[in-house]
Amino acid sequence: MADSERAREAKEWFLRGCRFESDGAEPGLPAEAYRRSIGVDSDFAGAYVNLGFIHIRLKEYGEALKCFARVAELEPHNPESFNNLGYAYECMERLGSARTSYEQALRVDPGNIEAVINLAHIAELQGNYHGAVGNYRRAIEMDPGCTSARFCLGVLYDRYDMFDEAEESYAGVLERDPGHLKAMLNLANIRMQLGDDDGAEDLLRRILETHAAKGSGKPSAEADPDPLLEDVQVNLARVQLLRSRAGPGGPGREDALRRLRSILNLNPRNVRAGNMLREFENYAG
Amino acid sequence: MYYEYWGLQKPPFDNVPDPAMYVDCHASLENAIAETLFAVEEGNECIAVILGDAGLGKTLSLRILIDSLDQEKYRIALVTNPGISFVQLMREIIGQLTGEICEEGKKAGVLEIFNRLIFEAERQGKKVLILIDEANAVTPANLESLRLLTNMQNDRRNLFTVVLSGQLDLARRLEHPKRANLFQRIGTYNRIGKIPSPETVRTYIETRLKLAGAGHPIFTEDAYPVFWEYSEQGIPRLINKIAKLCLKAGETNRMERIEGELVRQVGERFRSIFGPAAPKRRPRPRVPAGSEKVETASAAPGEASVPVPGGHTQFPPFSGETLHAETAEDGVTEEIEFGEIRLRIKIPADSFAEARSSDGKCLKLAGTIAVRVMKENPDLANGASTDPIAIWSSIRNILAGRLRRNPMPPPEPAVSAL
Repeated sequence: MADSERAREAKEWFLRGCRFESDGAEPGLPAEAYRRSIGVDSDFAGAYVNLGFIHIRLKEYGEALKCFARVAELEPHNPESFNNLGYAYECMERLGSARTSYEQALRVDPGNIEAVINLAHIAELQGNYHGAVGNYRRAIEMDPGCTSARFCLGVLYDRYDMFDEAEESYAGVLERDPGHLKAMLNLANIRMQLGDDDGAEDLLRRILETHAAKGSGKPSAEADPDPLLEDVQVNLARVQLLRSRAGPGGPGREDALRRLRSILNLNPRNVRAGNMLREFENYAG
Repeated sequence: MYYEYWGLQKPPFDNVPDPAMYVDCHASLENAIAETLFAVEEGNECIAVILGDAGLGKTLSLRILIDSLDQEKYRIALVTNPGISFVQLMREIIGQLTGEICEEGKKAGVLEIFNRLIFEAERQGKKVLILIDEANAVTPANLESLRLLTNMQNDRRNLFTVVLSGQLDLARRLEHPKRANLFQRIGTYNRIGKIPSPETVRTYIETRLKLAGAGHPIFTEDAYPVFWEYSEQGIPRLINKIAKLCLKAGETNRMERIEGELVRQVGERFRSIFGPAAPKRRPRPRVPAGSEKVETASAAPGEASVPVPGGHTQFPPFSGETLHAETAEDGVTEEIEFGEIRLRIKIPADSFAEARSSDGKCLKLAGTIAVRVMKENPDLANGASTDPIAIWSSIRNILAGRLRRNPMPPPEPAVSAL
């Protein structure tokens, strides 16, 4: 078979694999298409990459590693090859090897922000707070508009109870991406802990509105069992609880009870909602 | 800053690793660090053990240990998830010590490489230190293999030290009579505990405040029993968090002292608050569109697709301009110009509603319609230099943009027959 014909056929199989994935087919189908693509052209990097990610989804990390290692051979000047390789090592819990791969990605392309974020993530997993902060900051310096690095930095600060720093990071994310739901939720959590109930409630309601505006129906617990929205609803109930404790009963308490029951109707395993409902009831008693 | 309001020079209750702040505050943590450091630097010990329940500072103590060592004298590997096979564990350790990925697949092979490494380190005047966090996840078989590993020493001194740090399960395993051989090789054995009483909580808080520069007491007497109650009886991390939130609330309300009631209110506030929503890791499969990229590099919907790997040829610009659109009850038909070809793309009415449920769904629908468009217009990918994947990707992006931005307009009202 001529080279051009082989390349065309390999590409067709690749395209077919992509289509299977896009159509939500069982992983076996796209995996087979990618394998055929590789069978026709053993240098088709794209097919190895996608096959590698299918293996990752199936938790076949050793197989994924083989695919990504082959891509790194085929495309040694592409930082993405080493980021993917590092990701496979990360899944295998070989953090040192993952770090080495990400460092290689950075050697290939010193401006590769993804590699810097990945290195920060490894530092975070290894309990190296200062190393993680340093790398996230470096990513932000490389691209001040990078919301993912800002958000990751915010979460890191948040986990270490660095409230001011976390607030600043989340605010930076929202300045650049006002619809970032997780940044809003985390910021609301901080506001709640700092006693700013109004600020927390504004943010929580904004999440529901933003989510609804994106087209998920009306902003209520009944409308969506999304775990993030469940968290929002539980927190709203929490704010209402705190308010009703601070002042005379009012409608807040009843709203909160309704909210919690709705969450539990949709998801009876929501432990926080269950605990809070008991707390409300005990308080009333 | 809030701490300046209280006359302090630095934040006293940050939960981040800071060797200057742990001294004299939490005796069992301090002992664990000091003894382990001694075992590594002076004691020539094979194995050191740090035990403690979750959240008491084991990982913090390992970090302080690493930061306290002269990096020129040690080659250090820190394994945080050791519940893997022995070969994988050794590959990880070797990888960290050498800075190169180790893919040796056999146990004998990794042991040989490790042996070479520790003697090489000794020749360079360095010692190897292996820190294993969450060591309670190490399997019994791997514990035995680690014991055998410690045989690899020369006659005069230990060439490496293993620090095992884990929850109390680890103690039960190490103290089991079957592992007496391993237990004998343990040089230091420390348990990190909670802060043991309300009185010691008080000492802890006051010491940290003094270290931060406090000249007078900030918390009133009745605050300490409340700290004890809300910190689950002395978990330092919780004490720090409550104390920090109290200082911030005190600053906001211009307080002169912080009383027990405020500590209680703060403790109540975060009782059922969960941790922050975490970012999602986003690996990047090479789907033929640019939409799966990380946020930093994502292409806006409708933007021309990124080229797929392998240096494929460019395709004609696809403006995405709608030349004509027709709306009917069953969907919208758009006419779009692509190079010299005019495409008529029908988007079914129900797709708009479906696409609104999530971004992923929207992309999937757009991809399916793009496939149909390519099948109906075979000329699109006929050119010798055209890349069907890039074309598909481009059409998909445009359609995704349409689906996201333009909910289907209502059909024209039916004109009365009269």
